[in-house]
Amino acid sequence: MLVIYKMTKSIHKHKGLFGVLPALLFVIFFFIGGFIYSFRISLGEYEEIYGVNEIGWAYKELFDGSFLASLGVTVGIAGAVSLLSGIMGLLIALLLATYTYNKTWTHLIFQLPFGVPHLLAAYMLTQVFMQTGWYSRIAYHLGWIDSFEAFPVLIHDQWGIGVLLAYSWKEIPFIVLLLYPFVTKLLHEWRDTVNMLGANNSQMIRWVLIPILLPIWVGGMWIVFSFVLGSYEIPALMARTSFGFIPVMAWQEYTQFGLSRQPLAIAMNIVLAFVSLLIGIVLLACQKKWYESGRRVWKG
Amino acid sequence: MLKIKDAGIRYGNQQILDAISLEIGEAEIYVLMGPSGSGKTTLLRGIAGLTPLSEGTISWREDRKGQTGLVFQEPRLFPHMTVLENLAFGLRARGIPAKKRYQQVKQYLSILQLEGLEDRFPHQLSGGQQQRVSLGRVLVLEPDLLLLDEPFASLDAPLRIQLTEWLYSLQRQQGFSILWITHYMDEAFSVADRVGLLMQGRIIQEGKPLDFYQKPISEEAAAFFSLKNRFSREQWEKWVGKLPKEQDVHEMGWLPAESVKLSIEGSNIENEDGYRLLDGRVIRVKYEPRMQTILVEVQSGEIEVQLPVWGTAPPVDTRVKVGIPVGKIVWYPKGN
Amino acid sequence: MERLILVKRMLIWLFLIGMSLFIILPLISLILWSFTKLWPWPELLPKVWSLDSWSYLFSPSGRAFEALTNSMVIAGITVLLNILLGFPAAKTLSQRQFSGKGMVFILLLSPLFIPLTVSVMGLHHLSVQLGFLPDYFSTAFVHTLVTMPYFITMLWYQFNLLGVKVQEAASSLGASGWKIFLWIELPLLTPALLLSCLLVVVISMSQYLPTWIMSGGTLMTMPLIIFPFASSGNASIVAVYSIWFFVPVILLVLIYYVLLKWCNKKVFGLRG
Repeated sequence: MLVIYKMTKSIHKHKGLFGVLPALLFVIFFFIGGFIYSFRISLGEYEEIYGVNEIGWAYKELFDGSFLASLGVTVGIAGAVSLLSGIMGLLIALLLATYTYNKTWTHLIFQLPFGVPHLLAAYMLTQVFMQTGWYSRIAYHLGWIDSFEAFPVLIHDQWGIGVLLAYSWKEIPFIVLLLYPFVTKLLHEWRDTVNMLGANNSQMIRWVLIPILLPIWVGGMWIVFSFVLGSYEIPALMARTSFGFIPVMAWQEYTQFGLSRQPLAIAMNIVLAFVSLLIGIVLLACQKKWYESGRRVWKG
Repeated sequence: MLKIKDAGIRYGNQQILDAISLEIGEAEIYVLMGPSGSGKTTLLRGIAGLTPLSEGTISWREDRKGQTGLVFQEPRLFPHMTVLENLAFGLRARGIPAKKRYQQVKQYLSILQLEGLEDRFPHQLSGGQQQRVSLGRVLVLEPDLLLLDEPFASLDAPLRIQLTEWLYSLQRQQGFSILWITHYMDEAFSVADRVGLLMQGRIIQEGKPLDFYQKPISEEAAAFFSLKNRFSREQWEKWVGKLPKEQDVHEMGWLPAESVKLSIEGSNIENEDGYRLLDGRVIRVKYEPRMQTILVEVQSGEIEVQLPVWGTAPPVDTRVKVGIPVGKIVWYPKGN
Repeated sequence: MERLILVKRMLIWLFLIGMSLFIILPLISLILWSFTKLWPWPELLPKVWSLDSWSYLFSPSGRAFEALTNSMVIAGITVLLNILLGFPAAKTLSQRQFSGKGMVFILLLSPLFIPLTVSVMGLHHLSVQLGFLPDYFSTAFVHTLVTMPYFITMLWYQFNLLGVKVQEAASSLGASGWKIFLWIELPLLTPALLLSCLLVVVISMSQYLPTWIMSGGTLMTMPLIIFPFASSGNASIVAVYSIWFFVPVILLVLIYYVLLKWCNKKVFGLRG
């Protein structure tokens, strides 16, 4: 009796919290559940489907071969994209907020890429940047090149520049749109105080705006990093297959070589997820340290 | 030291400030008062350079840099910086290297009574401490003129009084001028060298604090300062009879509530010289922090009588007589 | 000194215009491609215009309307799921205090940090084993996983801005929980809610790999149709399908703005 009474009391006390339950259960069941399921597959369980092998065979096979090189490439591109879009996005957000506060056409332009799927972004950027693309023709008409071979190789090249461009096309606006409302709010809040104390715009940006924006900015970059790490469409369309982008490789293993290879594909992705989580933990530790002296910038 | 001539500020087609002319001298505390929306904050922002003037000029004495510092009602401290860094911000903006500017700032810590709090962050400070930091970061820049926009309005009464006293003695020591906006009359009058009344974008009266009591410039000004017992000359004459010829001829007159005598009807009251007696009935007794106010209904009006805290107020509905000291009525023009 | 400021200004404007061109020019190229089949190097503008690709799009084998319908149905289910699951979650997270909030946040936002392919591959096996869900729903489930972090975060932020003070005032005037929600919270949140729904729809319509995995490549949504053409290199066809993709998106954005204006007028009494 007492137990039931205590339970109902506890339920009543916390009944407001039920709101979060459906979403939480959904995510836990499907996402986390899917994650755990995948993880177990990658370890070699469910032998009736995937064949009998020793535990963790997928991981052993990965770390033997050229996987580590591909890992480096993938993480490298992801890092490059997140840094590039982070810095450019911040710069553009600051410029827009300072100089084009009331001109909405600039805001519209940076909102356009949102409606465009990544694969289309890849395709369009390929179209304009490839050697026979539109920019090459413009260069020809301006007299800068004589033939299309003279135009630099940007797509399917060894550095993945095309991939970088395509991701930037979508992710720079993402960062801009993420930061812009905060930048305008902060500008409005601090402009008078900072001017009155005798600081100019550049000092205001460096000493006040950026430190306060830091958590959101870094968070945004981490989201971009994780996204690029696990994204398939752009590299599939734009990078050479020998490039070694892991999601593409994983997808190949998953679909083309039969069920027995699928744990391998999953293992590749798990490694990626692990990298992303690792970076996240590092960032959280940095944030904790930055805050430990008592700093608190956002309420709550 | 600072001369503002015919300054005006416009937002769109709204004239916020209109033909403002005022001067602030060396080491002077000038208190600016006025109802909400009269343009006080705009004037401060204009002087600080945050809002441009639509017309008029602001000029400083030649050997002055015209350095101002503005303190808002909210502390507006940078949340990601310590107290020390907040205080040193202005110096940092001037390019003064770290060691030197922290040295300079540390000297102010004891004056600001912020010793021991240097490494705290704003959210770890009390309201009064935050306002002191807000004042401090402006003071370290050694301004010629300190601009205060209701700086202590968000603090509780004892703290407000304490900080006002502190700032006053600091000003007397260091010798900067202050243009001080406040709503609180006790705060204003306790520190002001001069007071200005800003209404609807114009300064309608300016002078020493007592001037507003002894020579209010209009009914509007008198009403703002809640001067007691304001009635037209006709009304006064109805009550006290013909006025002696020496009295100034102005349309309005007010009478300090402390000067009115009160006596219970039926008791013997000496008919002192200069006092005219009126019959009345007590309708309200108000207890206030430092006095008791008794509202007496007389023929066609209400007279406010003020008693000290140790006086005995008659209960409501008592028939009383009020003694009006005709000579103490302060006469002033009605204005427009 | 004046000159320096002018130069700086010009550089800034050049930079912004450059970035704007970076974003817009590829779109223009796409539009041009949809109206021509032959556009060899080095022509700046196509010399031969044709509407062949458009007629293919609308032909039976083009499956234009089938793809669009599939995309929209799935997007619709996704939005519904987001609202049902995400709205109460955002409200609870913003308005209630409880221990473990940080953990809940991390869990709910985890799809943002963990590459989705990890989970989706496992989910596919799960759904194969379960097998009872039609493709539409299993795909919508995965789309919900992708979109819900954004949805919840945006609404949570809005709820924070709203605060609890207005609701407390209403409660002290005697309004019950549901009334407070319907008359106060919902109207004030509608602009943000509309924006979040728009975002969910756009993201859902853009998904390729999750849809492919969950339907085994059979459910023809817009991205699924476009992808093979994109890898084959038929620029004109891809362009046509892309524009076909944009039309509903643009329509939705327009509807969003109209609804926003209507909402602002009704709720806030703003004019225009």
